[in-house]
Amino acid sequence: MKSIADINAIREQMRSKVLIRDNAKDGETHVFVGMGTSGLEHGAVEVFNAFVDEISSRCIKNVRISRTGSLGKSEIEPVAEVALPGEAPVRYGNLTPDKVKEIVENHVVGGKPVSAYVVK
Amino acid sequence: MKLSEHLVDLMQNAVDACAKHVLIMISGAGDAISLTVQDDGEGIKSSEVEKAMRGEKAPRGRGLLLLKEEAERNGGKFAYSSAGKGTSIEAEFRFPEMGKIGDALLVFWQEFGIMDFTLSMTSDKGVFVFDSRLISEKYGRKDDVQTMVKVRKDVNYAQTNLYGGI
Repeated sequence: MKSIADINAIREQMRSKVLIRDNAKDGETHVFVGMGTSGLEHGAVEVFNAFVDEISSRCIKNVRISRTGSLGKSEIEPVAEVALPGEAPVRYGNLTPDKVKEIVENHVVGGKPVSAYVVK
Repeated sequence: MKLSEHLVDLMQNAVDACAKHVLIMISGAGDAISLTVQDDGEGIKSSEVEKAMRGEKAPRGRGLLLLKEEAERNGGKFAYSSAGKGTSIEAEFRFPEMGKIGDALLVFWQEFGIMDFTLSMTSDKGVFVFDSRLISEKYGRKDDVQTMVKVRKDVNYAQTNLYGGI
């Protein structure tokens, strides 16, 4: 029997998959930032706002930034996933606002994931 | 954690409880800041909260324990109630690190329309009230990053005016 925590984790994963599937239809890139309590303790709000700042200042269109529940173990928080239209999401960990700048430039704009920050 | 990060945690509890509306009240008097968050969701089981408050592993409620500890560490108070329907949290801090309230609320941007909020911030310098249901009316388009930035800027600006540097 699954615990409530397990069910919540499955629900968050399914929510991400549904949103990513919908993105494939409308051509949007989707950024998810994990906002579990552990993520918050490690600066997830700053990371979320860094994505907003970078995408806004570069005037990039068709990007949706959302919060989601915890995306990984606390050792790799803050965690975010970037899903280009029709592509599998790439998960990044131990994020900082500076790393977010690199990810937006290289992955969201350039289409190439920043492998140095990718986590499982 | 900053007060703004605790606010995100409480609002996530509200999302998990299928709340449709959250009332956030922040008020400052002298050296104390109080935060009240009330939602109309299904509430959290008291057994879960009690487990979390004892420091035991619980599916939800760890954020409440952190908030209680933070408030008490700063000589403040913490009160929680969830009587079947809706949840109310009140915490009072002294000299808290507030963080940016606008940055915190932005996290729930995609939820506005499903779960909305009313924010009231008061101090001896004035009152600021904001309702997420009025974003489209006040700012035009809701669903773009530029509007997100404008809303965040306005809330953070009001916070600075009411409570000083953040």
